Amino acid sequence: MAGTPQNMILSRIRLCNFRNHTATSIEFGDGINAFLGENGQGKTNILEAVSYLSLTKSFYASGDAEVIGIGGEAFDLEGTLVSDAGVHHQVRVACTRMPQEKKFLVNGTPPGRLADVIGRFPVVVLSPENGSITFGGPAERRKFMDLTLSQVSGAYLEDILEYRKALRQRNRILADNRTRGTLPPGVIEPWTESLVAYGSRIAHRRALFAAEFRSHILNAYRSIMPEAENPGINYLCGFETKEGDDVRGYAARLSADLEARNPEERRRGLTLAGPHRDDLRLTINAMDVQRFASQGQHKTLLVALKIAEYSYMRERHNETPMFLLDDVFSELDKARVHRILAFAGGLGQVMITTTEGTVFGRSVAWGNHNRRFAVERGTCSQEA
Amino acid sequence: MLYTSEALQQLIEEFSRLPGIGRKSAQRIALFILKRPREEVVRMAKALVNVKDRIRYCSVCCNITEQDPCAICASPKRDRTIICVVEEPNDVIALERTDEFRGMYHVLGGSLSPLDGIGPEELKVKELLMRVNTDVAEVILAMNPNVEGEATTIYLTRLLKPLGVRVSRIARGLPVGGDLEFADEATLSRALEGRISL
Ligand SMILES: Nc1ncnc2c1ncn2[C@@H]1O[C@H](COP(=O)(O)OP(=O)(O)OP(=O)(O)O)[C@@H](O)[C@H]1O
Ligand SMILES: [Mg+2]
Ligand SMILES: [Zn+2]
Repeated sequence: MAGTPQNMILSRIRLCNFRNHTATSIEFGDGINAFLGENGQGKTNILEAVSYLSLTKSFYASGDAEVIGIGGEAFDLEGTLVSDAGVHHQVRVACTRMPQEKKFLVNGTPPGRLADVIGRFPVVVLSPENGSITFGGPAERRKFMDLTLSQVSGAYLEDILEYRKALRQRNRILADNRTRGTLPPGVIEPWTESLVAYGSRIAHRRALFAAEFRSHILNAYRSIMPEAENPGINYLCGFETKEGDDVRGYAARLSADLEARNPEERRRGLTLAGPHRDDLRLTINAMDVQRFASQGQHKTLLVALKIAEYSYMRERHNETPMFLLDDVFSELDKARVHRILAFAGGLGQVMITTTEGTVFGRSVAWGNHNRRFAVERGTCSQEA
Repeated sequence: MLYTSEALQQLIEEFSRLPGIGRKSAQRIALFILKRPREEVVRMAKALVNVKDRIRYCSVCCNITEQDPCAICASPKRDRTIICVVEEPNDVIALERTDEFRGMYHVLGGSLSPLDGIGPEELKVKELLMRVNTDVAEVILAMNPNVEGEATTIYLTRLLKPLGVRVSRIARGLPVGGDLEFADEATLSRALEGRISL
């Protein structure tokens, strides 16, 4: 019998009408939990359910209705999360199809807003969709920063949500002005001021994040890839900035930048400066990953980014995050898989899906701490 | 989903226009009404028409009222040197409940929101500016603590400052994302006391 856990864990979950799981109950170990099974059996769906309890939503589905079991009227998820301090929390998410309504309960009470839940039970997810972080456009990398920082800082999440609203409002004014050609005096300025207030805090926080993140990604890279490749991460701000600026400095520069672009903004009907145009530049040996990296390098960097995200969050959060690894081993050679597993063994609770049970080889000792589950046609049973 | 009754369909249409009511909820409310006794529905319909027929806007503070000027504006006990600007009539009710504020109100009728087509013209901004004469010493801006309320505060501050009046806002002790209406009385009293000059 395990005593008080030192890492936050999900000790159990019950899935009801969630995707292809009509009634699945799982008791997790507090170390590595491996979900094995053929394609299309429901392994990823289990991780998705876990992400619902933590993030109030799926890490990849676009809507709640999509995950309700086909033909069913509602899904119901319920799990027990045990905090670092050993406190048990019952978390429940239920969503009906018609009318579409989602209920989220922590110990029987709904949070003020869904956003209040983000960060309470931190999670890091690595799934095939994340490939877009290194392959895709800047929006994917902003999303990466936002998901990490939002779980670390409620104030950051608040700023992001408010910034998006202010941006949409301001863009509407600019777009209306373009089509109708009337912009009464004083109408856009309040939105510019709000945009600058939220935007400068966001940008300042992201710049700090990139600087702090550098050592984490270096360490992560070393732990899965001892060869002498050098990963780099640089924050590219969506407006003119100077190193060493404080938040007020950022605000002054964003303000000036918006001022300077005013004629162009009016012509194009769009806000042209601000953190919604940020990017993260990812490099290996000082070369742009997006343009020059091989498949294997992309994948290695992605895994390193996620391990770094985990250790970054671990350092800044009073709860140990859960680590969800969906189908990560494809495209990686044996040596790397072995190192990732060795590394994962030293973390808190980890959930891994794979079709290839053999990848674990002798790297993991199965038992109470590390558990193996067979997933088959929407059922999940623990293996000895 | 399409219902076989045009009357029901139309009712759903009407309900889904209401703020915060999506199509799904509109369907639910419409089906609920269908099941109520006729007298009850007639009473409800009358109440709807009555608000339109009887209620007017106070020519001073723009609050809803059956008499013009409204009871607050007509009262000799109120302090006419302070005007508290709020978004909606229910904000007045929330502030009155604190029994803390003895000044006058001005109901803007919403907050700036270009996405909803609400600019200064759609709000009672001109009416506010007309009220701010030499007798008024302070204007308190008590917009909702959200992006739209914030922009409205900034907008009004820029207009009011040049008039030489003291402009303040109630402190942001309110729950983030919450409306004034939902703040409890204690929080509102504290917010009023802790107002900050702009
Ligand atoms: N809303 C839903 N209702 C019922 N079944 C669903 C629903 N959404 C997806 N499924 C089913 O779930 C299965 C896919 O599950 P999942 O993505 O977890 O598979 P997996 O085990 O991770 O497979 P792979 O190894 O290919 O990634 C498919 O068979 C799909 O038909
Ligand atoms: Mg899968
Ligand atoms: Zn009045």
